Amino acid sequence: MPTQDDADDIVLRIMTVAEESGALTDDSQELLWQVLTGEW
Amino acid sequence: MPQAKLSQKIKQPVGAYLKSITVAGFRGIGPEARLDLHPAPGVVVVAGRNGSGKSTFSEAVEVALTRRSYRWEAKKGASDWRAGWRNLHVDDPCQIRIELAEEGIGTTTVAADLGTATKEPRDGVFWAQRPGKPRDRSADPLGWAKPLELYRPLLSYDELGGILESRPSELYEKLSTILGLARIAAAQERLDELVKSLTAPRREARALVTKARDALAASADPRAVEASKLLSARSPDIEVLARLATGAFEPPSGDMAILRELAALAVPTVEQSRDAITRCETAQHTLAELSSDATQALVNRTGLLKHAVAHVEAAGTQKCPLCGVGTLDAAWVASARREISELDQRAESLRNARRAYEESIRRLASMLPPSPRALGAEMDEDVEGRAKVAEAWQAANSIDAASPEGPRFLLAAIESLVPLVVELKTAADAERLRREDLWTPLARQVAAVATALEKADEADRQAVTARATQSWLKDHANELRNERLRPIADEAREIWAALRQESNVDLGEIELEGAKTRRRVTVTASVDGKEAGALTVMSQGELHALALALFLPRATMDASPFRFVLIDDPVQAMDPAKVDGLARVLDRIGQTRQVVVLTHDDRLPEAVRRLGIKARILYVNRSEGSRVEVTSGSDPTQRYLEDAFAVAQDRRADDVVRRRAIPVLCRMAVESACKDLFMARWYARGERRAVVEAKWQDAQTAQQRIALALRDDADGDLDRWLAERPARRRALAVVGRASHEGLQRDPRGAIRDVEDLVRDVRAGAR
Repeated sequence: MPTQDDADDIVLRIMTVAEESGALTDDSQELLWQVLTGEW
Repeated sequence: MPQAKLSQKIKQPVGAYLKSITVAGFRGIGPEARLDLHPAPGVVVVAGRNGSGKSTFSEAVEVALTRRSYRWEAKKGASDWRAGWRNLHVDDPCQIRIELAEEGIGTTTVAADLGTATKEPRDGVFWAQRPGKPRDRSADPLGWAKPLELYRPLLSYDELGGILESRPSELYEKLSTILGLARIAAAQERLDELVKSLTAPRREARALVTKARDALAASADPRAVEASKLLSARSPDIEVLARLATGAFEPPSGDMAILRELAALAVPTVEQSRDAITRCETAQHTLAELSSDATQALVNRTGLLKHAVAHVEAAGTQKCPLCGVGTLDAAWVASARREISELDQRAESLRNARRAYEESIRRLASMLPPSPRALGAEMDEDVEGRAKVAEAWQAANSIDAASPEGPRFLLAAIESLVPLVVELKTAADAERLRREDLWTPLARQVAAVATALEKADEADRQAVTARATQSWLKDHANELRNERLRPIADEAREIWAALRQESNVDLGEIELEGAKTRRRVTVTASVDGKEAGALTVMSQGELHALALALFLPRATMDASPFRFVLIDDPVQAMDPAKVDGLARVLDRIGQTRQVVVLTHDDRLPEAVRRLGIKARILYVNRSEGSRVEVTSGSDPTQRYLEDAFAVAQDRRADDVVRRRAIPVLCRMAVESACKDLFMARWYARGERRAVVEAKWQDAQTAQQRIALALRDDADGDLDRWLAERPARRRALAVVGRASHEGLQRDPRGAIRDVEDLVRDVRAGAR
């Protein structure tokens, strides 16, 4: 099974790419985080 | 950014090795047959003719672990397979026992009891038992249901073909789940849902606006007209709409204000009017009485007297200048003063009566205010009786109350006005209520529209963020997925490179592509440098090799709880060159995983021997009555000893080389035997791989490794054991000192001593 760590690793990787791209506003990044972690 | 969840971890799976497979009454095996396996990393080739019962061992593992059978479910004519699962010769007992050595746990048994009443294997009684625990018959006693799906360590020939023949999305799904990529898909789904849900409020608001405008158009109410005008704007003023709906705002030209004013008109009652007029008449009467001619004479007389008194007071006593008879003296002055005082009082009364009269007239006149604005204001829709009241009111206003007949006329005017006003008030109020009744549902509609528009505006603002996020993730999802897939793809390509041998097909990118219903794993290949889709240019054997290349990295991922792979007949469609490649791949995987390969032809065992791969070879034979036996073909220990004998007998070999090589081969034979014994026992006890490996590596000398095999302790005392048979010490000298310094004795005698030592170690270690 992929562990929670693996999954979080992916979330972190995506968030890093998103942040570095500079293409997303703070609100969009927050939303991205929420949909990736299932908070939304 | 909330990162608290990152620290949450779930338990890492423990690793499991196959220790034994015992089958009775199932498929090709009649009486109970047992396949013992070393529960440790390494390669085992289980060879046997078609129909020897070897595949039954593999199917038994699949049924016991997964409670299903890929072959039976996927194969055409599967009903024949389903009907033939019970052995023809022995049907009772029909059972499967799989022993697994679980790291940190020990030997766990997974079993299936398929009694005679069992119609299909899946209806059997399945259970698992960990050391010191009761049998667990629950649906997923070991928590392996999901890992079996994700990392499936079992691969049959049919399944090998199926990997690339199944739906394109299936492999995508499995790889995607393993790589934790389901998160991306789930996030995309959530964003799709969010964007969709955020467009709904605008759609709903538009529908409500249309509906409301239709309803408002049918109403003449100025508020409806105003609302309709507001709603026709591109961005309606929501605040004004809401105030219109709640009544906090009214169009300035509205009839409603006039109707409210009309309903609130105030006129004196007839009684109040009469009282006022009575007061007026009384004052008038009093004034009239006081204002008679005699009274005026008195006033004149008072003036005359006052002058006379002043004259006497100035000139002194004298004769009356008017009559010339009387005397105006002090007594007369006193009397005149008394008369003057009395006359003054009477004059004051007269003034008071006049003031009272004037006041009563003023009050009478002010009883009826000027005609109210509401009586003359313009209305979109007039109310009955308003003009008549306006006229009567004007008429009453025009009467001069101070004129002699004024009060009477005024009373008459008010008496005729009052009922008209009462009637008008009632009519105005009724009309106002009628209009309110018509407006209320419209007002509700307008209020709902205002709320909906507000929500839609908010949703629109959120949608901008959501769409930007959705679009970004969509653009980057595949890139991120393939970034995660790369290690697996690289390993698959590496495996392919080993398997391809003489194939002219080069494997290119292995990528996850598309989304939703179009998701798939694409494999590109080039034939002699020319790009092509892999599946279209590959032969059956190449496709199987490719499937194997995709299967192995997935089945051997670190996160898998299975430390074994069980592959049934992978070489069927492979040409000889690919079999060599397969042997090398298995050897590489066997360094860290237990690899069990079942094969029906000799090519794999032959390749293993020829390439000097350290693999154990077992043979499966079936005799009459489905009696299946497993015999050891050769193992690495035996092969090292055979090689040592071969070197000893080779007359062409240089003697120095021979005396150097033989002790080294003997030492490898002893170490191989000791390692197998030590590791199998320690893994079966549930020791972790890292511990077992470290323990083995720490033991440096041949004696220490024999001590590990016999005593579980590298420093264990072997003196007594070595003293029991002199050959043991001689053999220890061969694999110890001589392996460094060269053999100084008869080579064949030395090898036989080592052979005896291996046999004794194996016997002693049991």
